[in-house]
Amino acid sequence: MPFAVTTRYDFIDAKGKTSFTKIRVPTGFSIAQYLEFILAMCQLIISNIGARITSASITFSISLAGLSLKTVADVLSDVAQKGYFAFSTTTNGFFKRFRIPTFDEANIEADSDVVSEIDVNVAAFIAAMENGVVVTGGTIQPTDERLHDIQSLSEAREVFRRKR
Amino acid sequence: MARAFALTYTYEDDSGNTATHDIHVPTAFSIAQFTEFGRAMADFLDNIVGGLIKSVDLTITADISGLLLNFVDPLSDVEEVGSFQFATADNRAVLVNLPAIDENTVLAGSDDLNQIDGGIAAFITAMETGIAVTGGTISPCDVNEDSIVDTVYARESFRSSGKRR
Repeated sequence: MPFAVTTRYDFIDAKGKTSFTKIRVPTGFSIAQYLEFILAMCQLIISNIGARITSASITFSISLAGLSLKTVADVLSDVAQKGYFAFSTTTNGFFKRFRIPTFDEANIEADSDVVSEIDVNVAAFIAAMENGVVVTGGTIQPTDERLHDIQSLSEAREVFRRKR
Repeated sequence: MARAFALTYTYEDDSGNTATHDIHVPTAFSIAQFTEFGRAMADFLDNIVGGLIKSVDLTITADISGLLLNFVDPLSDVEEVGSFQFATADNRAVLVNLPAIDENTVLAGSDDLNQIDGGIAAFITAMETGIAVTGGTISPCDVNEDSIVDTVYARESFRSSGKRR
């Protein structure tokens, strides 16, 4: 069953307090068309409010149907246990860092907090991040937030953080 | 500056707790291509985690630098809300709240918003009939893609900040 696409608008008022609202729209349009909608809706909203719009975005849910993903979480899996990955990008000084929740301890080297880069599944993930994923008509190469292409793994280790 | 699009992966562990992380991707691909990427990356990630991948969402941030009159009024407050309830073709309710609603749009002696005020009327029309974009019209809907066709009420209300609007 298709789920509607969500457009979100973030606001800040004169006191610095923030809020947001969401408006759902149907699937079946292009990114360019949705961006047109968002900007037009922003302008309509602005004419009715005193706050400033600080951000407007659109979110699509990607269907996982048909994939052979786990259907039950592993016993003792914990979102506080994370795999920390830092990748260098094509621009010096810019890194892409993230922590993957419920990282499998079996992928950690013995007597260490270092992620095993020769584990076949970890290696496949790192290769996808470094070289991109082939899709119909091209290859999508992961980037950092500022569109610098990821180049190579800089660090990968196990870390523990709060449950979020 | 241009910002990358983000794929957000949400995980759930065996205690039912959830957490997320993002993978950023370049902007010059289609929704179908991002869907392919998101699903392929879910396969890679599923092999290195113990939790369940609950969802994958693609978020695209619009460039709003060209918006007109996007200023803060000195007395604006996001706790003062314009509450709209719309009805879909199947008569399902859709609630939309606009934080920091302009008090000038509230009818005197009432908490109703003036639906013939130019700005309010334009917003309601867009919600009921959609917004024309290149090659089509995008009409707001509920989560099941049932189109909004009518307005049930539009009134001022107050909500404490920090909560979902």
